[in-house]
Amino acid sequence: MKRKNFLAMATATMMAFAIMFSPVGAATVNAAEALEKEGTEVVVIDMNDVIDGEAIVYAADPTASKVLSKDYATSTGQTGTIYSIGQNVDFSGVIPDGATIKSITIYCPTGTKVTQSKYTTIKNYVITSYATNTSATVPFQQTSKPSSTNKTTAFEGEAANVKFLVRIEGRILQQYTGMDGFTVFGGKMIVEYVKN
Amino acid sequence: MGVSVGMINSNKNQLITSCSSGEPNWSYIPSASNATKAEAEYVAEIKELARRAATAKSTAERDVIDRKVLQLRAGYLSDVAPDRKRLYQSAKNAMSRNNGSNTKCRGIGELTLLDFLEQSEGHGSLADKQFALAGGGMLTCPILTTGGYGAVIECQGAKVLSNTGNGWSYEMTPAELAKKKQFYSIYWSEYRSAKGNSELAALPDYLEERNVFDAKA
Repeated sequence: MKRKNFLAMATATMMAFAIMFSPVGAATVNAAEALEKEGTEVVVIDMNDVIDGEAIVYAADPTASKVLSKDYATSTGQTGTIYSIGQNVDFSGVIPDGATIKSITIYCPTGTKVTQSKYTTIKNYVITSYATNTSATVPFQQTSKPSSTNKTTAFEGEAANVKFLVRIEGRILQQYTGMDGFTVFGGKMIVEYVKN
Repeated sequence: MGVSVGMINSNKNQLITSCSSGEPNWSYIPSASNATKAEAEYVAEIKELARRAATAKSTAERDVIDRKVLQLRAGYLSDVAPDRKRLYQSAKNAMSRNNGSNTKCRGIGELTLLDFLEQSEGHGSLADKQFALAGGGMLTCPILTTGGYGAVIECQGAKVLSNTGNGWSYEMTPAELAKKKQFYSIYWSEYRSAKGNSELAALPDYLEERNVFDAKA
């Protein structure tokens, strides 16, 4: 009996080491990049490029399911806080059932085209989970090295295989052209999750 | 397997925290109240729902359980939550005052905050105004690119209740986030246990015979 227990313990120890030192593997699944590191999974949604008028396609057919990376906000003759049209990002096909969120990182990679009116600022990403209706605000930042500034743990513990609404919040400080706003041509959203 | 990223569709992507009338659905939104259940009762219910979720046989069954989890979460957080109901009512009063004699009845039922926002259009921009609310909150009405104004109520440094076109959502205060962590810790621990993934369940033998560890020490 003791020998059986010793073997079981040795096996468990080896498995623990295998998990701890498993290599970082990368697999591309459509637009998503799934990584595994020390038992924590990561999905990266790359929303780069898209300049060729796809927004027009979506405006005409909002039920179409394709990668979209352009988001914009416009207003005529007003000043104040403004919200973009927004994008839905659905993780249900990528993250397994029962997985839970550890953190979400969202940022605008350096080099991504961003246009804005002269007196308009882009302030935050506002992420809302359709599953729980909880929201989180992450400062909008153009960077090549995302840090804790670009990360939120507000969704920690919630199911990860869900759909999110991502909007961009800006502020029109003063009218310049009469039709002011901003357009952001891409972004990156990273969901760090654990399987249960 | 794939990720879809797409434009929002206002008809199909409404948040469940909104009633058809446009009012927030308080069943799912935590708001300050006296706790109606003891902690032990909550823990028992959380574990029960976790077990049911772990053994759910269909997506429909899982959806029903998920909604019950949200309702239970709202109750569990209520003792640390800001008084969102009061803030919402205060926001309605503020908008009603702002509209003055322009306020019109809707026919059936009480006017919602969204009705007041709609009625205020054409009477000057709301986007650069701020309305102080009873209870320490602040109401702002951001411009929506889709048209009209949204409503954002900020309190304790968080957007504790907002509607920017797709229904009511809410950010949690630090106290709520800490308690939510407890909630999900109980839930997922029980879920893993019911699924047979518990770390303790996987190591029953050598936990029983502690002399092995004693000898090593």
